[in-house]
Amino acid sequence: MRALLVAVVLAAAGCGTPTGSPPPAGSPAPDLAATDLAFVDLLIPQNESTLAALALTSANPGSALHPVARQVETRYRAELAQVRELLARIGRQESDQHDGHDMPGMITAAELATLAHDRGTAFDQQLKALLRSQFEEARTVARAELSSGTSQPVLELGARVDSTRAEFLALLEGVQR
Amino acid sequence: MAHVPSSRLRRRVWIAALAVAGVAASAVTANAMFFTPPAQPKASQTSSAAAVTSSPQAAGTTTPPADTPVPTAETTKAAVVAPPKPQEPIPPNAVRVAEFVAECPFTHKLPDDPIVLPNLPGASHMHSFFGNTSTNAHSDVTSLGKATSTCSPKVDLSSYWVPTLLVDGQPVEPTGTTFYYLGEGVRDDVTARIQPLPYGLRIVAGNAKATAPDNTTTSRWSCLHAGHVGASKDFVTCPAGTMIESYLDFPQCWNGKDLDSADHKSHMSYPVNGDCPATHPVPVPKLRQVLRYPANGDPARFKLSSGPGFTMHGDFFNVWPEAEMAQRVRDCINRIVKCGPDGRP
Repeated sequence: MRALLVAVVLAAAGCGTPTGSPPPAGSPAPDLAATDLAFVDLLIPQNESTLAALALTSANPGSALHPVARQVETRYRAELAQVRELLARIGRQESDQHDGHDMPGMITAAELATLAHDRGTAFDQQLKALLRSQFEEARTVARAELSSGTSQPVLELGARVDSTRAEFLALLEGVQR
Repeated sequence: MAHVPSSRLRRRVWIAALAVAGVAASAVTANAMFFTPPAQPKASQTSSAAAVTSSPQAAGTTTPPADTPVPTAETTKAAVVAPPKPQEPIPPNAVRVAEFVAECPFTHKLPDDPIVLPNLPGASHMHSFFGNTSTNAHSDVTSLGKATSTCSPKVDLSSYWVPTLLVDGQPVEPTGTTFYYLGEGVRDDVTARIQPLPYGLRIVAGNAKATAPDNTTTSRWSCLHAGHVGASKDFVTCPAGTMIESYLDFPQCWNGKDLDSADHKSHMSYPVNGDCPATHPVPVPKLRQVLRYPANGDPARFKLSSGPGFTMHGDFFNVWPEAEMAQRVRDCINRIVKCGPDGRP
């Protein structure tokens, strides 16, 4: 998948030949429009804040959410690597404009602080609620990208976000606690 | 028994007097509380003529998302709407403050942001919109230019939006929604060469992701009718019978070429020592957003959809017809004359 992404980006950016020079800093590849960039800019803090919440499962060894958490972590890390590679390829700085933002689909510092104090059932219930709203919002944004985005690698990413969050929601509802 | 109605009457008179004083005081605040000596009447004609011709060529480019499909007709379309009105002489009773104004009542709420999250409906925290009635995640200068507005003047099709204020978890919309365009904040000779805001310009002011009320916080909270409470970067406790209000000044120096930028901020700058810095050499009117909410009391009940009070921010999408903006800049800002919504003294 990543090889395909790189190939697509390389082709689009005209960097596929040995003589091709990298795009000048600050000028994105021609196939990333504002919507694609906004989607990527949003996905990074969404995934990072979710990973921060999932990391708290390590302090709760009895949590029933461990299996789901590991799957989500793997997927979210892979997506982060993918979008960072994409941004690097187009010579665009990673935006931190939503870092610490109170936006839907992001788990806020206040929510993390509360979760860090929860244990047992309370922890699982709280994490489950946070993950559910995160997955649902991620699907909303991914579908918007699918209907308005133009960049092929970002559209593919959006489709994966939509389908994987649907799978994660189903997994989450299956967790008995 | 007889003293009860009379004390009520006294209280009502007292409240009415306070209200009048409060409105007068806040108007003074909005005018920056200083009297600016009259500018030399020179240059206003020439500078505005330069402004009108410079903005179309300046516009139409957008930096980082360089491939962003910014409609190239953005600035030229409005330019042909109407020729600028002839300039009237300054009336003898004119107030010598560089200002024109738009009153733009609340229109609607949406979890959208056409500047930061274009075409991604539902991706944002809740925003309250003012002015243009059509704004949503898909808005661009073309769609906004075809819509209608709640603003006085109606010709202002600009869109203004802020995070929604929640009181006890319920949205409360401001009932006072004034957008001042000011010449203050720079030296008078710089005010005299202020250019119109280019058609399609997008500006974001304030810090939506602030984690503390620090020096990145440009917004201020205060109380209408209770000046003694003082201004603060976070919510303040406004006494019963008063309204909590938010002041936010937008940056007034433009880099002269981009209608937006990747972070939606770096194409604009605040002035430095009374002038625009070399990186952002074009002075434009300073937008001052003043919102008054029908709410007061314990600020622990208040929250913005973006977080605490210091996360207040404002987004502005300029859709003033170019001739209307140019006439106001020429007659009100460059000449340092206070104008109303009609753009006249």
